[in-house]
Amino acid sequence: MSDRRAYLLMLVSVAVIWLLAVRWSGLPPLTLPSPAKVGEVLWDERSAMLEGTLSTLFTALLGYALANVIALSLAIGSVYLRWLEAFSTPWVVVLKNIPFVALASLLIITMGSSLLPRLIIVVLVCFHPLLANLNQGLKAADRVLIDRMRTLHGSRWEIFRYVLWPSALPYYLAAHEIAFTTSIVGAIVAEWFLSRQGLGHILVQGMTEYRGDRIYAATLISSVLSFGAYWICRAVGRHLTRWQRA
Amino acid sequence: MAPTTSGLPGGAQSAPAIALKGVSKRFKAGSDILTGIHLSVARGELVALVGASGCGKTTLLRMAAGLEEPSEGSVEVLGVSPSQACALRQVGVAFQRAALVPSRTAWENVRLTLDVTGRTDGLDPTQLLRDFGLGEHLHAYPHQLSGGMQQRVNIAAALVHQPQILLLDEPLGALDEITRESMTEWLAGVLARTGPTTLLVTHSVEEAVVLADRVVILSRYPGRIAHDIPIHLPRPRDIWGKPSPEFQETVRMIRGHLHAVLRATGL
Repeated sequence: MSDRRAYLLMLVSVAVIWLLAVRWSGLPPLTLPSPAKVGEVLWDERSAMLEGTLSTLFTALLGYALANVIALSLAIGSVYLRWLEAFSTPWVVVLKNIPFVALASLLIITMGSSLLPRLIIVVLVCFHPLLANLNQGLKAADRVLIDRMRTLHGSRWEIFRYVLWPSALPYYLAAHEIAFTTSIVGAIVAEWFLSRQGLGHILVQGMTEYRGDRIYAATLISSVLSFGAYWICRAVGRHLTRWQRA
Repeated sequence: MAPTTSGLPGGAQSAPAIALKGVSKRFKAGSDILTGIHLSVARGELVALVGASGCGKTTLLRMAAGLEEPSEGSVEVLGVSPSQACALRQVGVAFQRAALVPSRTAWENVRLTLDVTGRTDGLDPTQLLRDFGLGEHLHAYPHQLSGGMQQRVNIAAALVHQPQILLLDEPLGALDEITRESMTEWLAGVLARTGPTTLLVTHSVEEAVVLADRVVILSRYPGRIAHDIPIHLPRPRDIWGKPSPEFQETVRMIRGHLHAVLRATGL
């Protein structure tokens, strides 16, 4: 409850600071619009905003799903195929360390503004925490429990289901809290670079047309999306690991 | 309990339950953990392995469980290889650290053994846990249980499918002294009732003498069988209240052997 109160206090404080800034900072409405003005834009341009939001959400969710498929395949595959981990690790490390902004520039000149390069960017920014945590969780599996399963003649599937996966799950859930939010940021950045749609595009337009109100509106929406993503992951995660707090 | 022998090759009935013949084990070339081990455990017998740290007693037990392969010699369990005995679902193992799935309750962890082994003729997990004094804790998660309770769940999970072979690797080793004493007495009662062939690895001489039909002392560097001592004391061996002179004498004698072995190999 006090958690909720702290969030409420934060929201109220932001609103108050915003109003005070509009009144006293001397910045023109062009760069610092009032909350009312932003609300007006959100309402007046609701269909464009909704379209942009859906477009961003689509890119983020699809990219995130792909990132999960890749991370799960690599992590689980590496448990059973030693060469897979040895083979993939250099690729993962190198890809992680190429600044994705540089990659984005490269993707624009090679692929233009289609969906594929946007998906690639989302996957690149969010698959690493998923993979790293899955690997760690699978490796943290209780050796004693695996020995018990072996003496009971448990199959590979049973060992995975009863020992490896329960061990990896809390790590995997923690990774979602980071990576799901990152996928939304990734989608917006990708649109910023190479798209004529989505919240990222609205932001770029707002910049070139000096429309501070639209930038604020798009920022608000993307923050809500990002927070929503975090909140959903946290709620699902807490539900699945509720035994820890029993 | 009617032992299930279906699926065992003919003649397995007369063979010893566990037989190690000329077994050696080395992990790196040149350094033997165990050497020249000949050990045979009869059906229904309880043999305790004692020895100082590094004598290879855990390695020996792991070979009987099929978790390690001998470097030389052969290990047979119920007349077949250890892993075949595991495949026949005739082996139960409890280690020093309780092998429990943290996200499953006590009951679910015991039940897991039945699910994995597919044994339908096993004991009822609820009844077994009640017998083990855990009736109030059936639906508690491992982290909600004390060390002694976790170990009782662990042993229940090793016994619930009624294996003919029970392998115990210091099952009470991580417990405090008082819990350990009462658990030893409890374990003696459990094993007397269920009666599987048992190989028990322990540091504690008292525990070995209370539980075992035979105490096998291992020397170390490399581990060999130094003494093989039958224990003929009457049961139940209630010792924490008023140990009999014979019991004390047996414990003293085994301690003496252990110290002699230790002196011979250096501290």
